[in-house]
Amino acid sequence: MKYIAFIFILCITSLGLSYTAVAVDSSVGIQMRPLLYEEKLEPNQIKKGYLDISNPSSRSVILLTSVQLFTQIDDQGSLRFYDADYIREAIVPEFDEFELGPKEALRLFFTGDSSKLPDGDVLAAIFVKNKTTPQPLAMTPAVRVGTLLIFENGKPGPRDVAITELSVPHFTIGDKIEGRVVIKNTAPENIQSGFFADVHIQVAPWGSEVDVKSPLITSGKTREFEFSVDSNQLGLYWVKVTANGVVAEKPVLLVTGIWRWVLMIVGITLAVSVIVGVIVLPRKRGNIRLR
Amino acid sequence: MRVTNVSCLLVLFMSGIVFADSFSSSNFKIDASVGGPLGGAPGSSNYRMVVSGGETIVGNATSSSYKLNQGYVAQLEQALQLTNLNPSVSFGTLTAGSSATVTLNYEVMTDSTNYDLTISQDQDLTNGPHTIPAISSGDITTPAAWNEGTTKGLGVALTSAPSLPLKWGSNPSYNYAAIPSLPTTIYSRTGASGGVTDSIQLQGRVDVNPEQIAGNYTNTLTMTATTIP
Repeated sequence: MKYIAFIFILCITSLGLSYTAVAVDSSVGIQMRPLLYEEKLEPNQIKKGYLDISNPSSRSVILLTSVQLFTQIDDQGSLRFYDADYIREAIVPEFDEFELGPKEALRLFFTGDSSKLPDGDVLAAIFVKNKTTPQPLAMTPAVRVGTLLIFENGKPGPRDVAITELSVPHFTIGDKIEGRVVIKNTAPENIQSGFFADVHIQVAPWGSEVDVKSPLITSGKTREFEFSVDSNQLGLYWVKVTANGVVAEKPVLLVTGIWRWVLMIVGITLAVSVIVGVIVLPRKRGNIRLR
Repeated sequence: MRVTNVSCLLVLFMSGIVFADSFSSSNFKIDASVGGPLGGAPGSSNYRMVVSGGETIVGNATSSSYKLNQGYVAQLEQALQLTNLNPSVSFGTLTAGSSATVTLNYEVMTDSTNYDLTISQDQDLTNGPHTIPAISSGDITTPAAWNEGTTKGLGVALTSAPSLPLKWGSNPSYNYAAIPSLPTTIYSRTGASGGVTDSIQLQGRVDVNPEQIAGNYTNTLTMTATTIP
């Protein structure tokens, strides 16, 4: 009887565990890489690219592909996606729909046809979304993951920028200079322009230099980013930032690298000299006089 | 004999020729392959790990004149994964004047430092020619408080996320927004350390007028994840 009860309890527990496992497995996920795809297209060129898509969940999913354009809607880089007929004809994924089993992955090829795209900068995205079946009295949630495509089709769009803010501390002690720069894409918003500005940061004269890319800046938008430059200097210098040929600079007083230790040793030496010269020696002289 | 065995092992480990290469043809491209003592991407239903070991040079190095990402792992493209933990959520039977809620849970995993989540719906909750409209009192930019009995329609609130923006309120007084038809940013994450898994939770809330025609109302809510370039 005890054995029967034990087996019964075991069966119930197994059922419970199975149910839990089924509940966990109901999730639906999509993984994509790369996150960003940059390409240059020559006139009348068709180029082939690919994305890797995987199904991290434990059940099969049917996935749908789509292509949209995107634009930045604020200075934080938030994006808005929208449809256009030409982009669906110009950027074509290999499949409109495909199925991935649990933990399966697929390399999805796509073609970009420059003749069907406008000249200049093209900002688009390829999305993969799970196919859903609407449920009664419900919001049916779908997940969609996208790879952003940044194409230069023929002649690139305008690359004019303004450095609207350069912020660095007036005085720095340490081993590097940290600052923040704000860059604006000065193209009118009705012109399709989006790029990563080439930014050169230099501590002048004779200081370190570093080249970085700004975040993506689309027409009329402003983006800010932080930078860091190694420094081993003493005195007054200039932090000079060049972005697509436009220059901004700020003076900084630096005690950096080895110089902070040199200055500290000099300071301690001076302090000791002062103590010795002002306090210790006069006392000794006084003692001598007393004798 | 022991000495021989140890010698063999040493030879095996020390002679691990390490190379990384790229293979491609017109139909495929493999970014990198490694002939090192160990490497790969083992995983189970609970974890995934990308490992590479035994390479003589790994890690990132920079100076004022160069940037070098060394080793197999450094060559991997970044990925973004969005998972919906509740593939089907139902409001059940609605009673006018008494709002119903559902909870939607998502997970975002990425080795990038930032990502953007946008939200959209394909249509209002629809039953043939009849619809339950979106709430009129709040949008994604400025969500508004839910006034029980007064607020009518379908709204959504972001109820949990790393550094939840204050505009969404807090439990139990969340603020709600109409779900837009165009994908619109509902949450952005910046400055994340690589490899994080973020839990994101939304609450859908709906109430109807007494004259609302009975029936099965449905729509599809799409959450989209992309990087922030």
